[in-house]
Amino acid sequence: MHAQQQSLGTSNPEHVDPVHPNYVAIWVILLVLLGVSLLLGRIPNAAVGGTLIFGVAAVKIAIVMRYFMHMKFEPWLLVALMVAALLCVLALFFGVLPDVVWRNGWSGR
Amino acid sequence: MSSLTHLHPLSASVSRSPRRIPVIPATRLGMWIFLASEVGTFGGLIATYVMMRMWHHEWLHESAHTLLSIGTINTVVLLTSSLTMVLAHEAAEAKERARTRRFLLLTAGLGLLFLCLKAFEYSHEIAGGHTPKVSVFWSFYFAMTGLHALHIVGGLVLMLYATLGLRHDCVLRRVAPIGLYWHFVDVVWIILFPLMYVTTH
Amino acid sequence: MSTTTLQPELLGELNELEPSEHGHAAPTGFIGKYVFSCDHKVIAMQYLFTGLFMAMAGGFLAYVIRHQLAFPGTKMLFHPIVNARQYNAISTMHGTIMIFWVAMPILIGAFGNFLIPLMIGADDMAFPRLNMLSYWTFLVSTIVLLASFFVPGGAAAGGWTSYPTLSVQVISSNHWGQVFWILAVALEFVSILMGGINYITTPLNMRAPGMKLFDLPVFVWMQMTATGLFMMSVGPLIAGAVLMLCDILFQTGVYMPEKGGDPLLYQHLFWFFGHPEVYVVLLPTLGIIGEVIPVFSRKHLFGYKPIVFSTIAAGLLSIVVWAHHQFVSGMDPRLAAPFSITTIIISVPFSIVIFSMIATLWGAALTFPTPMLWAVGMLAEFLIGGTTGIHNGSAASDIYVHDTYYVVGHFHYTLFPAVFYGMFCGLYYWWPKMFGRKLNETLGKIHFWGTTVFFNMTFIPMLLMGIAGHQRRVFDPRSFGYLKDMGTLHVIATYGLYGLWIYQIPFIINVFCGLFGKRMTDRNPWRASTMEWLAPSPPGHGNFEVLPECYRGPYEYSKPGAAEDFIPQWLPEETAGIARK
Repeated sequence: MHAQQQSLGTSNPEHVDPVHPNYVAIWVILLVLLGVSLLLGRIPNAAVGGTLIFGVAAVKIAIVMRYFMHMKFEPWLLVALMVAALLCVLALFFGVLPDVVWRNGWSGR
Repeated sequence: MSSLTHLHPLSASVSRSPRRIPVIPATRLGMWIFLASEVGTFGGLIATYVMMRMWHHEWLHESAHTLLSIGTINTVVLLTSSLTMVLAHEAAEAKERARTRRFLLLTAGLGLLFLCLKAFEYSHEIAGGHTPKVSVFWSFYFAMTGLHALHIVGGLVLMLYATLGLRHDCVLRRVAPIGLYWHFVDVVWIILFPLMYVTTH
Repeated sequence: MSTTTLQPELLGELNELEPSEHGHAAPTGFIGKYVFSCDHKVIAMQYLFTGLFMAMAGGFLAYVIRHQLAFPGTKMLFHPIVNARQYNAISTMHGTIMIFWVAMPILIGAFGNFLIPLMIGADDMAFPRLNMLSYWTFLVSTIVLLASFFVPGGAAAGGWTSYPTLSVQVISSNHWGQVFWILAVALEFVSILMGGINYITTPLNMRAPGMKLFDLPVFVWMQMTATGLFMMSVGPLIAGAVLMLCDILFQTGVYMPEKGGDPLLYQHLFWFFGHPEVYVVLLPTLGIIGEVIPVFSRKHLFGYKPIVFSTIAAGLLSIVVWAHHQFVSGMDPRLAAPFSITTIIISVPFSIVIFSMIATLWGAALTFPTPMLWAVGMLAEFLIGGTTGIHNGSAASDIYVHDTYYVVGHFHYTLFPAVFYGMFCGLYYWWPKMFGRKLNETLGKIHFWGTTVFFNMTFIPMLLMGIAGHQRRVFDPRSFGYLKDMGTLHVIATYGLYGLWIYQIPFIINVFCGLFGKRMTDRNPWRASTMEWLAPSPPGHGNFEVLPECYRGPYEYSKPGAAEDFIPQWLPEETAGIARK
């Protein structure tokens, strides 16, 4: 019989590695980050505040996806799938944004 | 030559399952593919909102009327439900059915709490005259949070369906994809919350 | 990985996590077998016949449109005289039906469902019940769409693209047709999404032992790319449709300029999906002819890997070309150049695919049974569509031809070969596998030549009219003085459509004879080497008597030293009678 090629990358270590992350600790971190973003909302400068708040949101999303959704343990192809989906949205955003802004004007944040 | 001779002389030793070791089990892979397309749906909606926001300066005043307090509580509720969901998944992997069931129902309860708070919020806003037709900001607010709430309802249905089927061992594997779905709904809320509540106050 | 390397603990995990729904027992009774069936072949047939029915409906609407254009305001057979509102509704529904209810269900729903498991040597899809749900959602969407003809105010009349503000505002007093349109399209998308999860997961997880990703027939690759493209691009349109539904039902103003909205936003969201959708429809057909051409050339498919990679590249590129549909829409003109450039670049990967197909034909011992005629015909006709597309893709020439009959002619020259030539090619080729009977060759050839002649007779006049400046979406061409001279061309095009319809009669006869005629015993009548020809015709529940293993790539034709001029994928080395390596 032919040696069959592993098609998608290395085998899944989730089943090999029985050590689960400490979910409660991750939950606490998420709540702390929520508090941080509420505090950041009080920054009077909207541009700085907004950037920081969405930075914190991105960190929260990364934590949820890595640990709760176990993406940390998934093969690269799956990560690539989600990144591709995100890139499509970014393509839409940066393709349409100049049109919307050029036609309608820019208010600043 | 009859084409039957092309049948290979394979014995019955090839069992019907498993035929190969999939790198990702089908149920999880399928859910991830579905979530990738969901990224497009919510991403498209959010991208559209951000673009509109960039030329509507006056939305700053409109959006100050969202309820930050309830939004914050709801965020805590959803984050906690994500925790209970992942614990349900852990229990399912350990094949502890009673614990799985308990955590699933807890998650569903938190989802229901989220919906109740959301309903209160909606009625407060509509009573305050902020209906979807007053301005495009409120159109987006109701469309985005409404679509998100519909996804919560869908998650509740999935969880109750899984809880009912827990008598059978094989149904434990349904918990993993449902968990993925639920965390994704949480992720969407993590973006919607600063977008609709925090940066607007 | 061979079965010997299976670790026991992994195996236990696997039995838990792998689709056990998939080991469903063979159903008994008529309803379980043919109505609510989880079997991918039955679902494929359900998609096929629903799609063929909708093709007849869409073709009938085309007949009404063509009659009105050639002989405005006169009586026609089978349909009362149309007024302008009805004409708008009919042309809207013609486009909607042909794209979403004919192309998608037949090319992806029917052929994808039937062939993917067979070609990879699996007994069914990865999620059979999801597959069944996909079809029934599709059927509900079909009923909703057809019901929209009977709601107050009639069917949607805002064009198949449903641009606001027309679709939102002008008809808001009688908006039920538009609401039904949105609901039907949304349900159809949900259906294809559910199917798409299967079309991607199944080839990744359920290939026969020994089958590597590059042993997959090119058809499977094309299906995976097409559905992947669909799933990546459809989200923003769903979002846009939700916002449009809010605009209609709750009078919100996302697309209404007077309320602070932006109507062009919808066009962006629509075409962000709409352009990849063209390739979603085209790729399965390229897959079909990519299977047929090597068989009747008795040659290896030229450039298998380049074809695969360039379709993936074309898919990725198609995400960033959408605004070429909007050059004259009022979009900021500074965007025209970048989108023209990406649009022209996309012809490079598609040229690679088309030239690889032609190179397969080069120097081959060609035979021309009906499937091969359709395959070569598709290549030829599609080239006309592709080359006229260049004029629409570059902004400078598009500004002249936009919204004229040139565009109508162009997209019919791409979509008609992609949908109908591809579908007929696939049906004539796989009919023996689907129903265990061969379609009649003579009728098939009459069908092909008649269709080709009258197809060109219908659409060449449209290209000519478009260049002469005839705008599209005109209810009565005679009411415009400068269009009066083109009346003859309209009449020629309409007679072409009559001929096109008449030459579908041999096909309909052929289908009925092919459903009930004498069964054939030969499992592999075309002497093809892909896996589906190992199964009985028609395949029973579970497809194969013994699930096969794969030993080589899909296009091993005319190998020197082999016992026959083809070596099937399922044949072990020693049986194939050749010493390899």
